[in-house]
Amino acid sequence: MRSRNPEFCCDIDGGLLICRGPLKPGPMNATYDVMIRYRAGSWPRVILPGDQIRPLEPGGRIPHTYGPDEPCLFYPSRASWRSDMKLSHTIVPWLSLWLTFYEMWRVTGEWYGGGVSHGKAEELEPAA
Amino acid sequence: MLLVEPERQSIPSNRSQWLDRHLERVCIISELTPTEFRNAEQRYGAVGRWLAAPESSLAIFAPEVYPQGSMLLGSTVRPYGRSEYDLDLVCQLHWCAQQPPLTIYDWVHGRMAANETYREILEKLKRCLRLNYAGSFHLDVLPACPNDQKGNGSIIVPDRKLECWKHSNPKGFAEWFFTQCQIRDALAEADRVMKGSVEPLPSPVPSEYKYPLQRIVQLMKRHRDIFFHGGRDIARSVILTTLAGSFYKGQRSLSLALESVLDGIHAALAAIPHVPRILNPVHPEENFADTWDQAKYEEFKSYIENFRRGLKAAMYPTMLAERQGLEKSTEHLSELFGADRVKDAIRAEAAEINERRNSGKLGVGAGGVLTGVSQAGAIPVPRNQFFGR
Repeated sequence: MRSRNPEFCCDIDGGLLICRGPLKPGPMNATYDVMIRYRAGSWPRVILPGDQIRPLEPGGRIPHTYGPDEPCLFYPSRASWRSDMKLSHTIVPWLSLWLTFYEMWRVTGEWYGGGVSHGKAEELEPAA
Repeated sequence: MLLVEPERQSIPSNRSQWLDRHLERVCIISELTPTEFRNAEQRYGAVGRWLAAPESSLAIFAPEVYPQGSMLLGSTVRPYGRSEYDLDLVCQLHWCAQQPPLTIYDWVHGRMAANETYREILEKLKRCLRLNYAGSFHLDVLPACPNDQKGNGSIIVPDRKLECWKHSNPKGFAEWFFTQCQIRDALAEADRVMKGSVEPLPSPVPSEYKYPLQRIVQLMKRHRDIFFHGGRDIARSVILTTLAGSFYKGQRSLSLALESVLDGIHAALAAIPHVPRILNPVHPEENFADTWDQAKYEEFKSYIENFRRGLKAAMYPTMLAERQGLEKSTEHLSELFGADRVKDAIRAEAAEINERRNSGKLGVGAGGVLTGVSQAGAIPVPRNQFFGR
């Protein structure tokens, strides 16, 4: 993770890996303060702490997020992500792409990144 | 004619590259669609054939019909609001310069009016005959005679209002413009020699392949339309084209070239407090700014200044602005070119990213920066689907 993203700091505390660092997907984008949280047996999560991502109007929603500061980067199943994958080769590229589309959405109101939505409560497969 | 830009394939890695692409997209969105172009071609061809037909009343004058204006120079922009495209055609007769100017005008008018369809949509203007087609064009036919004293494409055009000849040289102007386009561009060849009696419209050069200077003229026209809310009498297209062509230094980067042209114009006009003359580079007796008074001149200077300021704000953001990302930069660009164009350009950019994504050509470099997968040190972005509500 650090070899590809040298400005990230990673720490393990009680089985929880937290990597934190700056991410600027492209020359026109803002630089985001990113936190990746990963616990073995669970799915990695990305948090953008503070008010870094915002809806278009107060009370609105940001597409493809789990919450106001948490983007959804993949469908939680073994087909998308497994514990033998590297965060630097999956989460970081997907996040870069997500942020690129997020900033475009802020300009045009349209989400170009595709994706699926969960309308009903689904059982997520356990992480392997 | 071989034109520019082989580096389009890479994902922009700095601000200047991104702006170059974005500005280019704004231009492409502003042009005639292929359908509109074909339509224009058909209309133009039909009028040309009618004028030059063997049974035409003009046949003894061996009429030569050729395009002029933005269609010829490759600098069309979709008009502002509901106005129409202008298609300009010269109908040049021979052995006619000894006639009174109005006679020449009337001969051409006569031939046009002899066609029932044209007669119904024909309008007499000061220097041309206008065909008002239903839909988004009108076609202006300019009767002309060669200027035998000057030669090289110089023509004289009847002015109905003033009842005299006006001098012009559209072919010469086009040649000058394309010469300026090719400044320091060793790849290009200018083989636009006009011959024959009906000149084909320049074939629709694929949009990607235009000279930076053509793009600059398009962008200046687009900002002109926004700034003057569609008014075209102060910042006339021929003035913008002449100034851009005069100040272009051969840069390949569109953003840097545009900035340089605007800086050049700004500096030149700053040294001229009273109304300048903007002379036709191939016909110095013609002053394109002959309708300017001091007030119009000041307005023109404001237009240039507004353009410069907005462009530089997009090119060189403050630290605060940079932290606000794409949203902030596009604010300036929207003010210059209109929010719709900018949004359409972003949409087109997203489509390009997705194309790369779907064909596995998208990667990230060190630090997570999006790039082409073939760049040194890049890893591919694995296929994914964003999730969430």
